[in-house]
Amino acid sequence: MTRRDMMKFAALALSLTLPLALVACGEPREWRTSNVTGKLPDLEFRLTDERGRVVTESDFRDTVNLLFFGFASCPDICPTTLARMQAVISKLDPEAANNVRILFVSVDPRRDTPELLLSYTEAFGERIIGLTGPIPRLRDITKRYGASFSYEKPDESGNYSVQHPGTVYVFDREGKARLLFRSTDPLEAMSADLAALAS
Amino acid sequence: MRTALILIATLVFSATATAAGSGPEIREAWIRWLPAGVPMAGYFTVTNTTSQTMNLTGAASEAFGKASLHEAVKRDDGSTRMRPIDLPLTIQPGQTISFEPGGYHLMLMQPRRELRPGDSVRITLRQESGPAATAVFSVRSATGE
Repeated sequence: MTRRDMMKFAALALSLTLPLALVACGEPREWRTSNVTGKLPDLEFRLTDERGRVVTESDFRDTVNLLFFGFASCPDICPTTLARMQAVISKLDPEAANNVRILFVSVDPRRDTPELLLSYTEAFGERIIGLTGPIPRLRDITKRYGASFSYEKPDESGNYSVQHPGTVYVFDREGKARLLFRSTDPLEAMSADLAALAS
Repeated sequence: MRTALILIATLVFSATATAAGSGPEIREAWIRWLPAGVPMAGYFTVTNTTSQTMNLTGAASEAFGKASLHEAVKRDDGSTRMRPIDLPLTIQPGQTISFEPGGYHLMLMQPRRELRPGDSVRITLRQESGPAATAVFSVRSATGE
């Protein structure tokens, strides 16, 4: 084999193995959803879960967490989003799916008690955990991610709607903000990106 | 009392009118079940198969204390708000309007009886000057199955 042949062989070998090495390290991949790595704060909160316990982000360490702000009296956007997220997770292989949680933070603590949140999230599956807290704390956490919520005027029966962010904030297993999932993202794009974080 | 009589007359009329096809034609009607008495959403497609403009004015159901037409509106800042649709909702001759997740939906409040996925619920759509139409909505699970 000539020296040139050896160089060509080395170049070929490198070009085949290097991309594999990069993928294995979880280094820059072509994310199909909105990549916010380094642009949003880490996952951090102190809220009450659906069993009335105070929990923080450390109780959800080592899972990929999908954070969504909504409220239980929201018949369309919130259930649609939660159903979509369940569909995204169900496309993963079972081991990866086990590493994902959906954190449904209700910004309507007046109506959404832990008991109600438990019934609500149980309707969607075990991977969803309902969380809520005092309004000032909810203001802090939504502001942390550049979002906000507000209460609409009640109707004559006292029913009111709550404006809230539609985006799902995706945090990796180290609690770092990585991606945004939007209502316009195709299911398989979200699943592909989630698989990269959850495997 | 008079309103009740008119509603009953309209419903009776619509039972035959739907068969004749002159009320709004409702298809693929389903409700996303949610627990604990929270509002549920109803979805369907509605077609105006007549040669006259249809103006939808509202909805009613025996299974819910209140049924209204709502829409989800996305704002520039990425937040979403829900609000009642500006009524009447006009459907042109031959046009189909879709009530689907993320868009138009029926907001169904105050369930009058225990509902579960697999149940059926009758919901009536009213229009300004023309027969109402009643369709059977399938109650699906929260995940839409």
